Formats: sequence, C-alpha cells, structure tokens
Amino acid sequence: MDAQIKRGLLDICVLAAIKYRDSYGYQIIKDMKPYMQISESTLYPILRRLEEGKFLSVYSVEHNGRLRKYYHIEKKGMKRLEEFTSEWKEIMDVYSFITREADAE
Amino acid sequence: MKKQEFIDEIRMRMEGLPEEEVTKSIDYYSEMIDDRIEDGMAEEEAVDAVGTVDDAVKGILDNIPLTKVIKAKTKPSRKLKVWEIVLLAVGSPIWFPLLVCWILLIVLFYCVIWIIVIAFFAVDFALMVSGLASFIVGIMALFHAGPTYPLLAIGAGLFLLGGGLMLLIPLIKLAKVTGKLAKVIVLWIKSWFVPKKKAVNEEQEG
Repeated sequence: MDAQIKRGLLDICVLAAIKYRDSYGYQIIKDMKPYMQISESTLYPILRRLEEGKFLSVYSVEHNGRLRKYYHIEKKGMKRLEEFTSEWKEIMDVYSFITREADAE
Repeated sequence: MKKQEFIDEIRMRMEGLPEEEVTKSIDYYSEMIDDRIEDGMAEEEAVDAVGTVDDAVKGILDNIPLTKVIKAKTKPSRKLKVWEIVLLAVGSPIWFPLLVCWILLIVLFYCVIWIIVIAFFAVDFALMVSGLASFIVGIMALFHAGPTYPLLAIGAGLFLLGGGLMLLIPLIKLAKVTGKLAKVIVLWIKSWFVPKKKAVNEEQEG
C-alpha cells in the first residue's frame, strides 16, 4: 500500500481496534496484523497522540503481577471513526468510477 | 539484547527529558516485551521483535515539543560548583554570542525554507494580478482605440492569468512538501540532543 495512504489510515485503524472492547498494545498490533503491519515504535506515537487529543483514554490493569495499559475509545474517537466511514463512501464512489467497465459509458 | 539492556539504553538516551514521557515510553516497551514473552517468545527474540532502540527513541521524541527537548537537554543535571559559575560568567563574552548565533542560524534556516515558498506564491500572485489588470485595461481601451493593441493586451492578460492559475497546482504541492521537510528537520534537530549510543557499547565495539 502507498506509504502516504497507510500513514493516514493508521490512526483510524488503531481506533477501530478498540472500537468494541478496550484493548492493550500487543493485542492491538495482533488484531491489526491481517490488515496492516505496524511496529511497536510506530504504534507508540500514534497512541500518545490519540491520548493527548482525547480520542482515547488509558487505564492500567494488573496482569500476572505487572501492569498492563488498556486503551478505551472516547466519544471523540467514535466521532472520528464515523467521519471516516462517511468520507469513505465518497471515496468508494470515486473507486467505482475509476474501475467502471467500458460499456457503462 | 536483554529486556533490561533495552530499557536501560532508552532511559540513558532520554536522560533529562520530561520524566513523565520517559516513564510512559519505558512502561510501554516493557509491557510489549513482557506480552511477547508471555506469548511464547524467548526474551532476546521479544526484544528484537519490538524493534531497535533508535526507532523507539524517534517515536518518543515525536511527541515531545522541540523547545522542551532543548531545555531538558541543555539543563545541567546537577548543581553547578562555584568555580564553574565563575568560569561561565567570565567566558560569557565568548560562548553567549556563539550560542545566540547558533540559535539564530537554525531559526533563519527554517525561515528561509518558508520564505522561498512564500516568494514563489508572491510571484504567481503578481502574475495573476498583472494579467487581470492587462485584461481589464484591454477591454476598456477597446472602446477608445483601434482593435490591435487592446486585443494584444486582452490576450496577454488571459495568458498571464491562465499561466498563474496553472502554476498554483505545483506550488501547492511544493508547500506541502516543504511542510513535510520542515517536520523532518525538527525531528532531526531533536535527535542532536539525544546521545547516539550507550558509552559502554562504544568501548566494547571500539
């Protein structure tokens, strides 16, 4: 995938990974893997940025004697996802225009 | 590399930076490594999978403003001794102008990049304005003079206006590229303030 497009999609994908249930770093990477490869060092600034922007919140849960950080999607994050899906509909229209068959003219 | 070495190296290179950011990032990487070990990986394997210290440091710097990085990294980590303060004061006619000069150079460099872009836009704008003026004057002159010169003016005006509009497309692209370049430069300047490698490692390698 084009690097530009990928960068734009990463924030959205991270939000989508915690859309239905709170999740932690490694789980997010695993959930995204079939769709988009992302490394720990790429994920970190994204999570921090989304946290600073109040798109998600963070809380710690004890797990096997250590703390694990869980990420919870906030209203603003949900809104961002909704905006994305409505924008995407427009993009899909353009897509069907690009890939239309010759006889459709 | 063992987990502790990885964490220590990040801590060493982030020394002096806002403690909250450092702790958060170290907690993050430590959790990632632990989760991978729990998933069945060996410790070294888990550290490798998490990535290099360089990448981790870059990712952490991404979220700390440049001014904070410089402030943290230029602040002495301990209280200065009296003779050091005296030396600093005595030497100030030398180091202070140098420091100011250096900072100004960086700021100027940053400004120059943007001024080039602004200059391009100004030229383009001038093209369009003169084109529009030439067009209007041509139309007005059409009623007073013969057709030759007014038509020339109208044609030239349309040519300039169209050319100016077309130039806008690559110029907007240029501005976008410059914005990205400026971001890269800021990250690069940040990385000056972070030591490249652990001193112990250098000894071992050298």
